[in-house]
Amino acid sequence: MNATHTGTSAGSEAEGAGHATARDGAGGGARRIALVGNPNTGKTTLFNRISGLRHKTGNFPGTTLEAKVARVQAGVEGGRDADLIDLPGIYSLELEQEESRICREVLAGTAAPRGEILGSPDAVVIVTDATNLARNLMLVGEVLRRRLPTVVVVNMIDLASADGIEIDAAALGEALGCGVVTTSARVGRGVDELRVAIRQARIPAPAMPVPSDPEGLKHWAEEMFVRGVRATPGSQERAFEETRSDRVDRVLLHPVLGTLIFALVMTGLFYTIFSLAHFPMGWIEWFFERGAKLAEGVLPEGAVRDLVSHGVIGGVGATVVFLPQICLLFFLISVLEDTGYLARGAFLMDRLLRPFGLPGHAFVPLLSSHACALPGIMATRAIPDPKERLATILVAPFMTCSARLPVYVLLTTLLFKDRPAMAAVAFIGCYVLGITAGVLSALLARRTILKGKARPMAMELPCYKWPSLRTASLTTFDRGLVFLKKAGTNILVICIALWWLGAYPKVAPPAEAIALHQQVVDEIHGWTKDGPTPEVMLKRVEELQAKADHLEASHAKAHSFMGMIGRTVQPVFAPLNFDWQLTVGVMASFAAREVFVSTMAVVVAGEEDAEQDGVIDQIASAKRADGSLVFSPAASWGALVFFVLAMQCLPTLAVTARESGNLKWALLQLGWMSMVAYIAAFVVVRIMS
Amino acid sequence: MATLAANLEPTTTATATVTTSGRATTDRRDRSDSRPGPDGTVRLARLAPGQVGVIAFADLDAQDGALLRAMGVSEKATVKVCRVGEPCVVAVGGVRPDACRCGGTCRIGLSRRLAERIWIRLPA
Repeated sequence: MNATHTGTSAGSEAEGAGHATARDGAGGGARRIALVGNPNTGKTTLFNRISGLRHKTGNFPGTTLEAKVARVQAGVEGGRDADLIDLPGIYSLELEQEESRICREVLAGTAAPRGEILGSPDAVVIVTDATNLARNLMLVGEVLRRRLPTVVVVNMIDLASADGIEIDAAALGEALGCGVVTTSARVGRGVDELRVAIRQARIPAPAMPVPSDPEGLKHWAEEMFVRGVRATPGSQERAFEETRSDRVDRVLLHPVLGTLIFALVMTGLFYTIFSLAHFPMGWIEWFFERGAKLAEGVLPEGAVRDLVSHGVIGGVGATVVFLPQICLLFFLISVLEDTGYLARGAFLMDRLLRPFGLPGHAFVPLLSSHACALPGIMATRAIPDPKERLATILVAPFMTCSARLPVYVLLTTLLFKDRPAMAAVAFIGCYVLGITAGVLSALLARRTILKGKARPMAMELPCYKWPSLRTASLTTFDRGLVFLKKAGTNILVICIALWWLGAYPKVAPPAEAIALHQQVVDEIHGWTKDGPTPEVMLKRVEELQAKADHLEASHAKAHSFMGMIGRTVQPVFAPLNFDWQLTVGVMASFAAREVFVSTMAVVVAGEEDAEQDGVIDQIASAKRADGSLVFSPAASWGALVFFVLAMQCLPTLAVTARESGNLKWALLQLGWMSMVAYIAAFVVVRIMS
Repeated sequence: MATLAANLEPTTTATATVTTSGRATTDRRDRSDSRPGPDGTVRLARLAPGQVGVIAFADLDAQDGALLRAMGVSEKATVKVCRVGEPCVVAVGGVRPDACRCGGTCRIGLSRRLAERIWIRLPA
C-alpha cells in the first residue's frame, strides 16, 4: 500500500508529499491496481485484454455491484504480481450513486471486493476515451486529487485518429503530471506499454492544480485537453458533423419504426434463447440421464446408489441444464450492447415501463424471464438505479417461463378437451396475467418499499460499431462460471434435498402390489403349452408387472416425506379445492414447477412419464376419497391461476438472494407471489364453483 | 447550474434556483409552455435538429444536475441537437472555442422531461 495516502470515503484529497512510485519487486504480496473510468471507454475490454480468463467475479460487500479481480503476473521486466480491480464505470467520483460511492471508498482504502483485504490501491489506472477526452479528463482530475500513483490510458486511439484528433501523449503527460499511455484495447495495441507504465506509476503533479468545484474542474479539463491534443486542420470546422450513428438513429429511434424494429430484434433474441438452447439442454439432460443409469449399474443397490444417481447426478444435471439459456442470453446481450443498440432500446422501452416505476433497461431482463427467470434476473445488472434494479428482480418471476408450459398444457388439456381454440386463448391469458401481475407489483413496490422518484433517463449513446465476439465470448464464459459457482451450488443442494424428501422414507409395497407380483409368479409357473401363446403370455405378464410397479411408485410417493408434507398442508389448500394429491404436486413444484406434471403422474397413475399412453386420461379421471374428480373444473382453474402467479422455483430464489445481496428480498418475493397466487386462485375457484 | 433569479424578468412566473445541495422548486410553467425563457433562451426540447446553442442554465434537482454536469451537459457547454422528442439526443462540445471538438462523436440521450428543463441560448 502507498504509505503516503490517507484518503477518506468523502473523497478528500490525500495528504502526502513527494513523488513516491508504485513499489515493485521489494517484498510483500501482490500490488493492488484499481481500474476506473467513464462508462463506454473500453475499460472492461482493456481489463479482459490484460487478464484474459484469469479473473474472479464477486460483489462488493453490502451492494449488488460486481467486482472483477484479476491476478496479473509480473512481466519479464520484473516486479511484483498485481491484483487488477475493475471498478464500475462512473462519470464522477462525487455523484450520489452507489457506483461512485464504491469507487470513492476503494480509492480511500475503506472498501474492497469480497475476499480482498482493505487498503488503498498501490496505483490507479484511469481509462479515458480518446474521442471524448475533455469530458473524461474531469474524472481524471478528481482521481489526481486523491494523490495516488496514477497512469492515464487514452483508449480508442485508432477511432480518434480516424476522427482527425491526434493525442500528444507526452504533452498530456506533462500537463497531468503522470504517465499517459495510448491504447486500442479492441486490438490489443499499447497493452505492453501500459504494463510498464503501471510499474512506473507516480503520484501525479499536474501543471495546474485541480479545482474542487465542478465549473472549475470543467475548465481545468478543457485546458488539459487543449495542451494534450492536436487537432488536424479542418477538424474544428467538422465539429458536430452528422455521423453515421446519427443517420442510423433517425431510423432506430423513430417512435414507430424504431419500436417495430426493436420488437423484431427482441423477438429474435427471445426465440433464439427459447429454441436454440433447447438442443444443448436436451444433450445435457441425456448426458446426465446416462450418467445416472451408469451409476445405478455400477453401484450396489442401496441408499448410496440412490443418493449418487438421483440426488447428486440428478442435482448437478438440474443445475447445468440452465447453462445453455444463460450463456446464449448473455452472449446475445453482450453483442447487442457492444453494437451500441441496447442503449437506444432502453430509451424506446422507457416510455412503456416508466409508468410502472420500471426503467427502459428492465425490458431485456423481463423479456428473458419468459424463457427462464434465472438469466433474466442476472441480466438486471445492466439497470443503473439500485431500487429500479431490485424492483425488476422481484417481479421477473411473474413472467411466464418455459417451466410453466408443461403445467399449462396439462391443465388446459383437462379444461378444454377437444377445444384447442379455447385452450390457446387460455394459454395467452396466462401470459397476459403474469405480465399484468408483474408490472402492477412493480408499481406497488415503487410506491412503498422501494419508494423513489422515477429518475428521468440520461444516458450516453455510444457510436454504433461492429461487436467484438471476443468480448461477448469472455462475458459469456464469465457469466456461466459465476452461475455455476454461486447459484449452481445452491441449486445442487436444493435438488438433493428435494430428491431425498420424495424418496424417503422407504415403505413396504402395498398389499395390492404384492398380490400382483404373486399373480405374475403364479401365472408364469402355471403356464403350459396348452395355454396362451408365449407372446400373449409375455404381454399379460408385462401388464401385470407394470400395474404392480405403478402401484408401488404411487404408494411410495404418497408415503414419502413429500407426501406427508402434502397431506399435512392440504387443509391450507382446501379453499382452493385441492385435495391431498394435488397438494403434493403443488408442494413438490414449489422447488421447481416443471416437476408438477411428473409428480401428478406418479401420485395418480404411478408412472413418471406423463407422455406415456393413457397417463393424461388417468390424471383426468383420478378420483378423490369422496368420489369427486381430483381435477374438477374449479380445481383445474384454481391450479392454473396458481401456477401462473406463484413463486415455484427455488433456483430462482437462490439467484434473487445473490443478485439482490440479501436473503430478505428472496423471502419477500416468495411471500408476495405466494399470497398473490393464493388469493387469485381462491377468487377464481369461487367464481368457477 | 446557474441561479435563475438574476436572469428572470419580473413578470415571468417563478422558476427555481438550482443549487447543488437541494432540490429545485417546481417550475410552475406548464411543460408544454413554448414561451421563450429569460434573455431569449429556449428550452432544449423546443429546438430543431441541427441547431447549435450554448447551455444557459438548467432547472433540475441536485442529483440530475450533478449527473448531467459529469456527463458534460453543463452551463456554457456548446450543444448541437441531433434529435428531438423522446429521447432528445444532443452532441456536447466544450466551453472553450478551441475545445469545441472535445465532445467528439459523443451523443447524450435525454428524456423529454430533462430536455424541457434545460435552457439554451442560441447564437445571435
